[in-house]
Amino acid sequence: MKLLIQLHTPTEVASYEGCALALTLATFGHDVQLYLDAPVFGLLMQPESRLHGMIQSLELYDMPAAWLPNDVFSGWVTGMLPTDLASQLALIPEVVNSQDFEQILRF
Amino acid sequence: MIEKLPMTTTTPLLLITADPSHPLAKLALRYARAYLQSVANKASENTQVSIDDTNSDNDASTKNAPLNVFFYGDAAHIANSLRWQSADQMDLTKEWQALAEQYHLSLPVCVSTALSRGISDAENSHRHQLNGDNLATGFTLVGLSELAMMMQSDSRLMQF
Repeated sequence: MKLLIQLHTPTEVASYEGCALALTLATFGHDVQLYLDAPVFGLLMQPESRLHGMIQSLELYDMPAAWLPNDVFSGWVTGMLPTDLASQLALIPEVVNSQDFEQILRF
Repeated sequence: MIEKLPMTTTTPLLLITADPSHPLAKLALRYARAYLQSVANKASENTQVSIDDTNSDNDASTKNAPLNVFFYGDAAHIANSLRWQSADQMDLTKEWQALAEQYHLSLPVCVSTALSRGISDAENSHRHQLNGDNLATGFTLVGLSELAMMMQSDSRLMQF
């Protein structure tokens, strides 16, 4: 199943649970794309947050780079993050067809 | 969405993540109830057609439910037997329990999201040295892999 999982809620637990679901489904062969919205950037920048660690390991799960909103703030955040984490992030493509995904989940 | 349920061959999988106080949590219950009722009605009609054939148990309520649900995140609160509701509020825990009993529906809850919200069964309480357990009857704590397995089959995933 091809899924887009969007993380919006700026709490450690919600971002962790959304990301944990993405990694688990990827382990089971599902095609999962993560999208990190601006409210979770604060957690992403905290090295001790579980979100930070899990995004670092996206490649280990054969997951594509997580999408960020296509704006100046995302560019700033990417520049502030360690290289190994920044390499797991990409700006969302200008055109995304939501019909490409069988379901879009929001946390 | 509830009035006209699409007739498909895929099994609906309700991923319930909303807190019990969120309108979506009630909507999930309404959807599940309406869907199961429609399937039961259809099965009942089929039984009427072949009523003389045999006293078979074609009633949908006597078979495994043609619907999967999975409680994740804040929806784990629904499985808390100690969650008190005033009389004028819908008790989602009891409503899901009644639905599960009527349609033989299993009510799996992600174990890690439940434990992080103070909801545990006897086994996990023993394992994690927790004082007591409060998982409501009918609900079961399972790993997230259960959800992944449900999605392996031909299912129609919906998040509430």
